[in-house]
Amino acid sequence: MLKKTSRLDVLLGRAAEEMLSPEEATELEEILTRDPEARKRYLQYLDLHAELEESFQLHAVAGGLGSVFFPGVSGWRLWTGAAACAACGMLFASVAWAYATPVIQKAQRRTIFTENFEDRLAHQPTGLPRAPGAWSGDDASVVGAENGVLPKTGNSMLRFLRSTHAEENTPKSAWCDIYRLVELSTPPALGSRLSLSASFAVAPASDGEQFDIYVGLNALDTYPVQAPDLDTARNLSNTTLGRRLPATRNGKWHELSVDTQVSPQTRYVLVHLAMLRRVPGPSPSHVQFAGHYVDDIKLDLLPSNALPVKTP
Amino acid sequence: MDSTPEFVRLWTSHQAEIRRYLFLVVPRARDAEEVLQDVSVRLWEKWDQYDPNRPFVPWAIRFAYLEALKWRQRQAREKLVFSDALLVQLDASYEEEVPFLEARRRALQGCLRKLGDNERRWLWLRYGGHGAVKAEAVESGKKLRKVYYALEKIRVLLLDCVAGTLKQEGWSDA
Repeated sequence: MLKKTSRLDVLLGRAAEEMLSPEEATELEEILTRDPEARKRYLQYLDLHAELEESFQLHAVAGGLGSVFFPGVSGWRLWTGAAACAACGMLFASVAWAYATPVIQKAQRRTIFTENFEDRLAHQPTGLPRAPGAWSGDDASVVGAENGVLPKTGNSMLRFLRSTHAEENTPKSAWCDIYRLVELSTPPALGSRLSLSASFAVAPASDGEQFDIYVGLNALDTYPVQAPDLDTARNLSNTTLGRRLPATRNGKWHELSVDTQVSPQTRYVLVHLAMLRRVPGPSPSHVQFAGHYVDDIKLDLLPSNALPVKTP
Repeated sequence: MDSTPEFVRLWTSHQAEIRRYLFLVVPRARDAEEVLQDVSVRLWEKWDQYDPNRPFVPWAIRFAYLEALKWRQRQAREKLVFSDALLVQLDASYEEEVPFLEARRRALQGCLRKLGDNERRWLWLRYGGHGAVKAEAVESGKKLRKVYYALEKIRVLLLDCVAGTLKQEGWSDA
């Protein structure tokens, strides 16, 4: 049962459909100007509207639709929708095919790297990695349970300590970055995807500070013998992807992941995890982290058949 | 070193995020697209000032905001455009909201699966059908106003579901 919508939501609905009259536009502006909660609702409403636009067009192309998810939609309409997506012509065949067979197999993942910090010498605070096989970055250390936070797996986890390291010269930063270079044993097949996930926890505290967590990866064809700076590493990347979310300070673990298609030329993956202080704002110096952890890191390769496949 | 490929790569990767931001401060899609074109030109002009050690999107969004203000000034006589003062307020609200957008978008995917068949069908006709919602209204004899009212209620239902999901996941500020 759908509930009755508020006047603000009515106006937002009309704004989303570009149907506001001049009087309604004035009314909406007045509401938004005087009420910060209304502005928040406005941003959430229109972002949802934009996400629906994007999701449904993507689904129409990638084959995620079918009579199971959208009953009663005739096939020609699905085709019409897909045909209108100008960027997606090459995928038309899979659209029609997926519509006919909506059952999708779960892709097989191959884990190419995991870390739970059971090796207590795992981290070297030396900026970007010089070679595969060790964690590096800003100051951090492998610890056991502390500050009311238990490791996500095993007996150890990595604690973020400081947003710099001994060899760094920057005067200020809010980001505590850690890196790991992973060498792929075999080149990824055409169409393969990389998926990186990590779990983060922040010990409870009530000092007003707020933090974000970050997971990113750079897929590289080559890696220089000398450790590069981040700029060079990004220039060498054939794919760069990162995702950032607010951290919840309740001592519980939250998983964050990124997933992207990679080039068959990829030989290395630079894993980038970070904790950063968002509030208070720009830091005049480096940030100390009192109870911020990461654990249970996985890098998976999804083969090219991760696209929908026909099942009997 | 020629930095053009790097600009093209970053712009291609993040254009959708900039478009979304513009859609929030310039809410008509065709206007947002127009401003997006201006933003891409402006970013290219300023590319030599970009610090590659910092994330691209916040840097680009500062220019998107300035271009949106300029566009607003060009459209000053148009009644359906927000005032400069409200644009400033919306931009500040966006700064507060941006860390939660990703979590909200992820929660939305789960909420879509909880909808009933009829609700999902209307959403598909509206967002995936490219005009099919109007054709369906005519075909089924429903007034278009009622169809849009139904869509409005579905969006509110999804917003409530997303808020509930984030609360369950412990996002106290979302």
